[in-house]
Amino acid sequence: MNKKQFLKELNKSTNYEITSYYDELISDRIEQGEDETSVVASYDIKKILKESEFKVAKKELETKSKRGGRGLTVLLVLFSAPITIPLAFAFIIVMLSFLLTSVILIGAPIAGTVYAALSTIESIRINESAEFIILGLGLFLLALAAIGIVGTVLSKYLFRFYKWTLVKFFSMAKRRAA
Amino acid sequence: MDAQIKKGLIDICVLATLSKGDSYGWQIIKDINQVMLLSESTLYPVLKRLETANMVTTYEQPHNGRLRRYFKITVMGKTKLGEFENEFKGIARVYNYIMASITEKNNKEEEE
Repeated sequence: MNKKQFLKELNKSTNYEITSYYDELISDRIEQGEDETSVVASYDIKKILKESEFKVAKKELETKSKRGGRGLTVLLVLFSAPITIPLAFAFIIVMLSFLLTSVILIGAPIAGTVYAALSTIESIRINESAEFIILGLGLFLLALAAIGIVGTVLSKYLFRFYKWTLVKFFSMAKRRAA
Repeated sequence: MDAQIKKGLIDICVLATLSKGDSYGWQIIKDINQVMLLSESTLYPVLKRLETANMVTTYEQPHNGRLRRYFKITVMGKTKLGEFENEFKGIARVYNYIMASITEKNNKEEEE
């Protein structure tokens, strides 16, 4: 891997500042006679991320939470209670409705398919023009499958969204409580 | 060197290096590595922390067709360095006490 490839790779998982810091370090080392490939090989992106970015982010977070102070947090919680409690209820209701939507999106095609299959069997038994019914059933199942695919894809993203929202919500609550 | 002792000394080492004159990333690493092993990934958060605490400032200067970022110690950084100097007097007393105790123990063992 050369310098350009390394920096491109590093830039994918970090910010501009860290990338330009390593850009400068590599350039300085090459200028002082070191081989580009061996300079790049001496850096491990995983280690860089673990030691540089994480610590910086953690420190910034700690500094921000310390600035607020515990007394101020208590006051903020008390004064914001008339707004935050209804908001929390609204948040729970929205989350539940999302959950319900996911269940419907996944469950509806399954239930629809079972119902259509049962009612078609019943229609064939009592109706002579079975060909049209079979054609109709085929189209109906195709539509259900399409809805099922869309539902599954959407529910995957919805699930990710709940997870992300819940993690954010609880980590924020934990930070406030600390 | 013990990680905890090293952690406390890195910031001071960087400030001490910059007190001799403005410097840049690779040069700071080379200077500090003469007395303490310091990696590039360890230096970055230290510089960032010192910058946030207004103990160092940065500026860019053209060098061989590119921009090189220089670090400069501030008045606050110099004050921190001065504080360490005073603290070190206390540390030196503890060090001397530890070393004297070790010497005394070794002398006793030799006598026995």
